[in-house]
Amino acid sequence: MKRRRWALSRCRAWRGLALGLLLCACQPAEPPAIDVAPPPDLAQLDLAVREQFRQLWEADTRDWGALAQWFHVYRYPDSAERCYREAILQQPLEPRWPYLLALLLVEKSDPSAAEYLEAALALAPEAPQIRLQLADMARRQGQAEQAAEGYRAVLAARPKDAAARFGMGQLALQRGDAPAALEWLLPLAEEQPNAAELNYALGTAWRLQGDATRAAAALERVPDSNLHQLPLQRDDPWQAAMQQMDRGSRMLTRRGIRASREGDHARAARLFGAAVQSDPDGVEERLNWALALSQLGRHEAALAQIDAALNRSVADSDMQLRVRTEQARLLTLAGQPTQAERLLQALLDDHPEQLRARLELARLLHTRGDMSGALAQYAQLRAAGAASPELVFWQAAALLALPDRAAAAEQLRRDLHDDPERQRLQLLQWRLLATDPRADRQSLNSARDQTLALTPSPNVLQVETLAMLLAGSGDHERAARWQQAVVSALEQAAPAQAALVESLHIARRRLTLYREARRPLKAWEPTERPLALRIQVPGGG
Amino acid sequence: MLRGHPGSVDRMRTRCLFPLLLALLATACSEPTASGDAAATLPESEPPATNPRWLFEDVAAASGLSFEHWNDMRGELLFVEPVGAGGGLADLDGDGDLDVILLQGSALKPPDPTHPPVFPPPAQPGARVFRNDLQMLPDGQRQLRFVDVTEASGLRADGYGMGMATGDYDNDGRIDLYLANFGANQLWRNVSTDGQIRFEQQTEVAAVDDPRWSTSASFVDIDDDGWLDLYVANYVNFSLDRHRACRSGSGRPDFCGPNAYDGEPDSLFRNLGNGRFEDISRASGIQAEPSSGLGVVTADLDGDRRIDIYVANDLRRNLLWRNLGLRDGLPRFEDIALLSGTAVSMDGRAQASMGIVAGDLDGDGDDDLFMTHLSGDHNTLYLNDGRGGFIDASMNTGMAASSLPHTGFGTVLIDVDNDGALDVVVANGEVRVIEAQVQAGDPLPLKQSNQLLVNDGQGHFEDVSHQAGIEFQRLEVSRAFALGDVDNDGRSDLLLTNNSGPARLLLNRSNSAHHWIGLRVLTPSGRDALGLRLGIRSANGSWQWRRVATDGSYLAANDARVLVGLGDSADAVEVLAVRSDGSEQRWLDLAPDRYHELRLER
Repeated sequence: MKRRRWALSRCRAWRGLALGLLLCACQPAEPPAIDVAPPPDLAQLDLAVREQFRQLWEADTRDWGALAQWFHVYRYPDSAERCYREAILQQPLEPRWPYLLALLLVEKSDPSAAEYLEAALALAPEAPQIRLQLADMARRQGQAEQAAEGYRAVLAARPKDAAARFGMGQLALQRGDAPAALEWLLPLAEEQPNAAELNYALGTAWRLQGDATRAAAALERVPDSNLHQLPLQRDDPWQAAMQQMDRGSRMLTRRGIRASREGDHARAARLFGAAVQSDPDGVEERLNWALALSQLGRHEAALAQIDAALNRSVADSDMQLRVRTEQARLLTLAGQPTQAERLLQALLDDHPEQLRARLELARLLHTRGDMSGALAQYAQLRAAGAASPELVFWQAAALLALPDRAAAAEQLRRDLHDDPERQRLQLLQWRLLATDPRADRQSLNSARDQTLALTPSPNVLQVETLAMLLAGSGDHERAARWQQAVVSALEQAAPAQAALVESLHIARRRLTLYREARRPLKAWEPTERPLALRIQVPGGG
Repeated sequence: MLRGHPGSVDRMRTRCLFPLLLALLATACSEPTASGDAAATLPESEPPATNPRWLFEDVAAASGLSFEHWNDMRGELLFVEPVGAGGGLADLDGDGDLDVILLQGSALKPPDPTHPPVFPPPAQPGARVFRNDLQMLPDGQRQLRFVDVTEASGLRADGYGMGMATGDYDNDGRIDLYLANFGANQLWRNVSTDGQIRFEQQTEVAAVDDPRWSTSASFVDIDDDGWLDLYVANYVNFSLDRHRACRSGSGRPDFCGPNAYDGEPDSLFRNLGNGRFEDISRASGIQAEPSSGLGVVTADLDGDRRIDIYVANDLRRNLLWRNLGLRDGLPRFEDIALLSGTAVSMDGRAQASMGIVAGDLDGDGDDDLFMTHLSGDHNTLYLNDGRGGFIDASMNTGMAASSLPHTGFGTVLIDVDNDGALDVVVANGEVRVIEAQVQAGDPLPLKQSNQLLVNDGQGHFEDVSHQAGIEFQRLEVSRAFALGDVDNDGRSDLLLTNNSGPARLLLNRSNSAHHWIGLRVLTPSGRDALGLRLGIRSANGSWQWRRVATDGSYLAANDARVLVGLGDSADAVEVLAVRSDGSEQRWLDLAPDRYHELRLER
């Protein structure tokens, strides 16, 4: 076996040497000038990107590999290809250049990609990313056996390699073998629970297995937007290094969004700040930076960036209106809701069609307890055709908080007729029932049973609704027990999340009512929020 | 294997080195072939091969189908410019051959001498209707001749055209048109008589306008009441005053992507049977999912005999609207795309889905889904398990790797050589500039070649574009493909539209001796039975399953007739129609190699 490995390694070394010699030997004595020119649109590129190119282009000795990577990351594939080929000639023993060239060729579906990967492998037989690319390529081409062989070779050297395990899982899925797929994917999911592609693959495997519940749970973890997806962490230092070269404001923004999604707001702010440096005139870059700074509580700096964005935006453009709307939101967060309200009112006076601004105003008024004002905005939004689940919910909640029970009942009836699947609306309707002194016991019990059946792991909104229904039907003891579970959960969570404090106050008030054997008076409080926080089912619940 | 064999190491070295050496020598050291080299010309004794197995010939110009699309690009990179436009094939005058409808762009902004359009506007603006005056010559040849009858037809479609749907919404036996625009849409009722194509606009009367940016549409009887309803896919809330200056990764100005704008919900109009429609987008559940619809196809995808709706969305999850039937008298839908496995790619990413087509690609009796995507990503084939559960089979079937370099738009299923297996064509054209074409100074550097993927009968596809003639080598910004047998010769032809380029009519000249049968299936009221499932049984007992449909592809409307390849079998065939209530109707002993008109009984 050892002898075989030695043979393979010698073989690869030979191949590497052969490649180097060949590539050199084929050069004419006087190499022709390589046909690469600066991009014709260079003047339009981001400042930092232009500067990067200038340094590479004007260097005393041209670094073809670095130049190739510049063209590669900024999507000039033809120039990148030519530069990689030149880099291979100049540095025949450097495995990165055939490897990265192969990645470009894969995108073109060029069959010679495999040859370059083989050549890279010969030069760097220990680099797992090359084998992984070969295996992935084979998988894309439907060559399952060859792909599996590649993944297994990587796993033999690195049993925990995530990309290889994922590849094996995908191969199992491709042949419809759900148990084998799960065997590969489940342990990986424990290590990387937020990797979108992994969760989707798991969802597919459970689906194939016929387990719709687990499939749905896994699929729920796949974010709606690609921008918010966290990829599987793969170990590819060469590609990572090339990606790090990307100083374009777009890429920095993308990385900033990812950092923000991961909750690393400080890193997000740094990346958005770098994007502004790369493109100082970018309105969107400044807006993103402002939002990230605001997340860090740096309100003044955030509002300064908003001002800078407004100064650079085209008057009355969609982008400027968006920045003005965000300005109002940030002012609210900075503790200046009156100014925010004035700003939104002014914006809507000029542009009444701006639904985003109107929604923001409604939200602001709702937050400030001005239910009538919020309802006026909700009504205008609905009249304009807006009917997002959020809007529909908050409109009903505002009516309940006002309280305008008759209007709330009618609105809920209409919206539930349009979409009976909206669970949160259903819960509001049951709360209306629970707080109605004329409600009959049968309806209350039916609503209670349906609420109980909603989920084995209920959230605050569901449990408080259940407690209301129990109290409404006179079962105050059970109502208090469930409500206590909510209070306990909130007490535990509130110290870390200031936004939960108000919810805790509301929950405690309701608990007091139930302990005093009283039914709740209001179905929804003006400052109440629908919380998804999970509640431990109380003993005897 | 190598253990204990003294010579094995050396042999291995030799084995691994020489093929590589040869390959590298061949590629790295070869010189361009010198002019006059013997290899550059065919020996006189070997004439070039004629009648290749797969061949299409563009006869648009020769047959009078003269149309050049115009998008009014002026260098501002407006999002709408590279998206359109489509077209369709339908027998509008009822004479048995397919006429052509082509959508056109229009001026996006008032004339501005400082920013003139890159390409001149068309001499004849608006969508055009071409009547097919197909003639059978005494020698048996078929002569195609198209006449532009737009003005005489009364069709005035001067909006910024996108896509279209065809269907007889008023059950009068004449095929009507719905035109989807960037802006207000139009419904044109077909009132042709005596071979004269004529239309009257019914948009307002029928109440089916949608002022948003609509793309594809489909006439479909969702509630099985005998009247065609209408589904309209809407894209995003872009408008000229919402135009954003978007940039590529390096900061260069570029077309925006769909995520730069909010998605729009689609529309569903229910046909009331009296010439009017009711907008049930909200009540049916459709409105709950704003997205970025580009392609739409309707078919029973979960085997419950109700017609479902699948929408291809651009960089947002695709939607599979499962038809739940009537609730409180209204059709209801729920999106099951994610759980069905058709919402996103195998790695969980929403793909930039453009074209979409449904058909039985693996020959197991249910409709599979195939859709097209951006370059760098692969086109996706979802195989149906018959119960509405799908598996992404792109990689096992040869669909993935071949599509990576292309940005695919229109796509149709076509049995090119009538061997009984559905092949696939894809219209390609970039949305991100191509470096080499920029360097060459091309004003529209988005050009790519189209693709023909041939099914080996086992569900594996091979890209044979390079063997299918010049039409699959042209570099153009192709958008829609529409399918239909334009010269009624039993071979499926293709209508191809190009953004800022000519429309092409690709006649199928493939060399095939295979037999075929053509079916036009009508409802008792005399309209095409859209949505009907048809089983075609050959003499050897094998079944092929097809759907009567005009939707699918991208911005396009196809011939409603079903053309089925029978391979080598020249025997009579049996046709089975399965209605949505489960009842069946059979036709026996239908002769091959001709078209049949079949009428469903009440």
